[in-house]
Amino acid sequence: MYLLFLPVLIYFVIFHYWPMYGLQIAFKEYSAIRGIGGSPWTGWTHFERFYQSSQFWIIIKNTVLINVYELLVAFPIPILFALLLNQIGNERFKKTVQTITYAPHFISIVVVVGMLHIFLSPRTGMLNHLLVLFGAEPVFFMGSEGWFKSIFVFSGVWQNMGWSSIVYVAALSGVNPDMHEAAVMDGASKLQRIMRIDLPSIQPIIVILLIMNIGSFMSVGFEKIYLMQNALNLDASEVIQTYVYKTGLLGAQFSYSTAIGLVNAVINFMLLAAVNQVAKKYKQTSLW
Amino acid sequence: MNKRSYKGKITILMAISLLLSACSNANNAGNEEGSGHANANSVGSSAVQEERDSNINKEGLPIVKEKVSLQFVTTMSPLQKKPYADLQVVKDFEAKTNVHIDWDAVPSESYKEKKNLIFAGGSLPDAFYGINALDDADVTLYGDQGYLIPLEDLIEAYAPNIKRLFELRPEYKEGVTSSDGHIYSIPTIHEQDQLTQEDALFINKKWLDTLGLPLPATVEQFEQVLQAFKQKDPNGNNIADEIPFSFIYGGARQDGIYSMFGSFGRLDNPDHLVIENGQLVFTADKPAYREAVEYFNRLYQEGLIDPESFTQDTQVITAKGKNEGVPILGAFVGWNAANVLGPERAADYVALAPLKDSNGNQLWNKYHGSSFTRSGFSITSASKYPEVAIRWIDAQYEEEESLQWSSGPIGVNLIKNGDRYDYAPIPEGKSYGEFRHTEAPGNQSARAILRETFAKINESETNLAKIALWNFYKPYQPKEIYPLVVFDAADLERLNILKTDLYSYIDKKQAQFIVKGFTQEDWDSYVKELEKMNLNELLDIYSRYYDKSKR
Amino acid sequence: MNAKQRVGSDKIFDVLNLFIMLLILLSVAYPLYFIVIASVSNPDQVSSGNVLLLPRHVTFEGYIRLFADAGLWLGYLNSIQYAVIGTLLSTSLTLCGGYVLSRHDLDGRSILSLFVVLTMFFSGGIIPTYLVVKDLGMTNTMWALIIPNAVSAFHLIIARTFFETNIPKELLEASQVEGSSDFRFFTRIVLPLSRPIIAVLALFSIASLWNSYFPALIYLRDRSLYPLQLILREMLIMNEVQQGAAIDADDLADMQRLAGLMKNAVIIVSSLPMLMIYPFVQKHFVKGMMIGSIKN
Repeated sequence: MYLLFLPVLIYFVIFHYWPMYGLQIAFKEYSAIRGIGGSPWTGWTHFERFYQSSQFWIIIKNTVLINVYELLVAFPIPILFALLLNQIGNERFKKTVQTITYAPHFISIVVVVGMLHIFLSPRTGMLNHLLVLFGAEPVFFMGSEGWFKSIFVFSGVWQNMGWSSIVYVAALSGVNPDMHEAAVMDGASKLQRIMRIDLPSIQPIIVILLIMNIGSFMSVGFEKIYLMQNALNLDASEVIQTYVYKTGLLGAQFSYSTAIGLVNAVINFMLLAAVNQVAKKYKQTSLW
Repeated sequence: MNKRSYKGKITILMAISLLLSACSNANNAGNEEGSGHANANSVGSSAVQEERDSNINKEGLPIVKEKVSLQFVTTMSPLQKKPYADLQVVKDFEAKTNVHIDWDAVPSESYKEKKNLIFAGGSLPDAFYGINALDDADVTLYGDQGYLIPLEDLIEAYAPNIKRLFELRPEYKEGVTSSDGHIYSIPTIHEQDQLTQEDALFINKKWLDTLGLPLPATVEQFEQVLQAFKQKDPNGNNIADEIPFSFIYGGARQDGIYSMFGSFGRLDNPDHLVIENGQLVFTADKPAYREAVEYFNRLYQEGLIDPESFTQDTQVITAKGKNEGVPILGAFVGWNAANVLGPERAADYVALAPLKDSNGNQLWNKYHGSSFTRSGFSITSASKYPEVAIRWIDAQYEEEESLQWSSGPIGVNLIKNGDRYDYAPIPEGKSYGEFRHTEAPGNQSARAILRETFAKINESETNLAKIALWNFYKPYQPKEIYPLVVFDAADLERLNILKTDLYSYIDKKQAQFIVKGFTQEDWDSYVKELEKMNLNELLDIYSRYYDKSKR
Repeated sequence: MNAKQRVGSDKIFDVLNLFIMLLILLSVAYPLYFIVIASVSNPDQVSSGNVLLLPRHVTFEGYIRLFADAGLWLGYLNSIQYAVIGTLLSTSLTLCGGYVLSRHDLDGRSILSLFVVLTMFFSGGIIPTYLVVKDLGMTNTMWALIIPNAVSAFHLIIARTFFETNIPKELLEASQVEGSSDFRFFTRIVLPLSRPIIAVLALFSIASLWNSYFPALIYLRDRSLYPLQLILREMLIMNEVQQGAAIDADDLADMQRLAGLMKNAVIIVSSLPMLMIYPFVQKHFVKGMMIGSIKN
């Protein structure tokens, strides 16, 4: 049994635990020539620098809000989608929907953001054409603080709904059809069967994914935010990762970004541990 | 079944052997890091050294008697389709010098990460080659830390072309001399003076004629013209599809509105620093700046500024310029007219002289252009052949050689007529940029092309158009701009921290002020916030180096 | 609820469901279709919002330029090779690891899980990882792209959860009574029952290997080893995430024009294989398949 785990164990030791000695540069002034071990200690300087930034609270606020938004919208939608898709009787239609929704996952972020600009343009975008058709004023979506988070989250839903639902679809295929037959005999409607049979049977995977999602709370898709950013939406779009990227332009800023990454990781891990504790108490499913 | 368990065992075996080899290698890791240094220090001490020296010709070509191989790290333009080793200039140069280069060419977009890891990982090449190979900060920091070796003695002993360059243009030598007195990089010199003028304001002359309006000379007239563009349907299609004024807000100085701030008494630029009467002045908290922002806010409120100016990239503004059917762009800021409008429509637009301020002053921005770039060629402490490397680059800093590495080889991209050069005609279906990069690294190369050399080339049409623009705006350019200085590592780092916060705050606020307007209170709190972000410290550093440069 | 009511409410449900699915289908399919027509349209027409339902000013220049690059096919082959080998390795490791973690009768299970989960949060960063790969002598080989990312903690946990919920405990007990070994049970009973999760893990792994370029960028020097994604990145600046680089303004205009011309074609060419393999993955999601095999 343990032997079966050995390769994985060795892998994690070599490629994850061993390099962790690198974390110390968060407390050092990393100098390439002296190496990680030889760089001078600086204590908490890098952490203080981040905290003292006048942007600190805006950045934290945006990071948290975007994550909450994603958790509330982007997390449940693939589950609902998988459950509904599972009810489609026509296999070909079902497979078509599945394949189409899966495809956007492979489109690069640059092209997605490019399409957002085209579709949402205040002058020529089709969404604004529609708005004008219905007598509304065109909206400058991409240059607005208020719209930024919604555009970010929903374009993410568009891109990853199908992809994220794959796990649930796979889990649903493990549901015993006998249970459904029995439920039909008892007169249960489709909706009832979803609620009583399907949902409970994929519940463990939902809980685990939820826990892990919460555990990655402070990290957001850096590249997409960076590409969507402009001077007009900056107050809503500056997040930890983009900020670190901008301040870290100097080649030797490894220490600083490591420090902030470490703060991120600690917060995330504490969140995860807390949620995990709760899950343990109520559901008996937990990460460890 | 058997197959599966077999695979499992293989996996385990492989993992274990990995672990073992990892452990044995771990001990070496430390030693390796220092070894690069040892090489550089041991130059001239051993018998191997002597043998090596006798292989090197002190002058003339080839550089070495027996072929020597060096490893260079460089960037590669996306326009370049062949790998470095297959480029004609590279092959010809190898034949001439007898030095083989093992190129590690990285697409320019992803270069930064790779470069950082090369330094961090300690496996240095012999040299970093090219205009984008190292940025100013790299040269300073890695020079300071001993990764790059000082070049001044090597230049003295082996590099007549570079020496001559530094004698002709002492300011360039100064520009690469660090505060510790050493030279860690040979600069890239590309003296096309028209490149010091980046942005130009274009206006649709045909529309003005249709509407019977003269070229606007003041900011008020400009506003009136834009209003007429918006309201009077100058393209005559009965649709109000005209975009009176468009630009690209933010970092890009060639498409932005920085120069137009001059119409209110003081120019602005991405660093928000100008020199007035030998004094460093910060622009973005002064009344002139405020007036300019108020003016743009008024234009925005009146619907004269394209809202997409704040979000668009060149692709989008170009699509507007090349709009099918009638033109829709009234005025815009850009590098030249043809890039945005296409060559035919460009004829309908003219460059507009700087709009006059209340005192009748006219100002337009000047930048350092590409005449001097600190990065070009840097030799690392890991190189066993620094003399060969310096001789190699010196050979490339010969006039015609530099020209060919930048513009493409003679016979392909250039035609030589006596001592003058012509650009070869561009084949159908290719742009000049692509053509130039077919057999040479082009703009990514390290080179020294002086004004005198460019004077020997019969200019292409694109260049002539740019030169005309430069001549047009030259009279309005400031006498002095913030000089090219070399910051030392500590100041550089501090500046970087200060600038990130400050400049993105200023950019953001300017955009908000233009789009949403602002009150006295907003302005006061903005100025106060700048102070809180340690504006003064930033200015201290900049003025310290400015004063030093004047000496 | 009687049968009639049930049928009635099911009908409403079906109609609603169909409607929702059609809506989703349309809103996802249109942008995909847009990429296809944009890839054969003049980029200026695309940027100015004139391309809506049909391509405008049809040009195949984007594709022609793409296929003119000799590196493209080699990149394709390399990518396929890396994806296949990497997926075999990573899926088998993940399945083994995930199964072990799923066994409730295992001592130290929660410690091992914690050991895995921790790596999701704390990593030494890019420098030490690079040094490890370098010290293992993997730089400039395909192993640098495969081995350092062979196992993902996330996928391990998903695999574990799947085994926990879908492999009935009774099966293990029965096999233990029979006296067969754990390994035998895993390979003969568990794996055949887990086709959906194997398919999912393989898909995850293929997709991440296929899309990755960063390890290739930092570990590979030899161009003949470049995967497709790196070749494509070399061909055009997709991104303006490069600051302070000295670029000739006319060159830049050229690059942007080419990027506009090619970026949609690039997406299609690079993601087509991923779309083609999906049906093979999909067929393992058939309902009731597992239960059927348990009965046997």
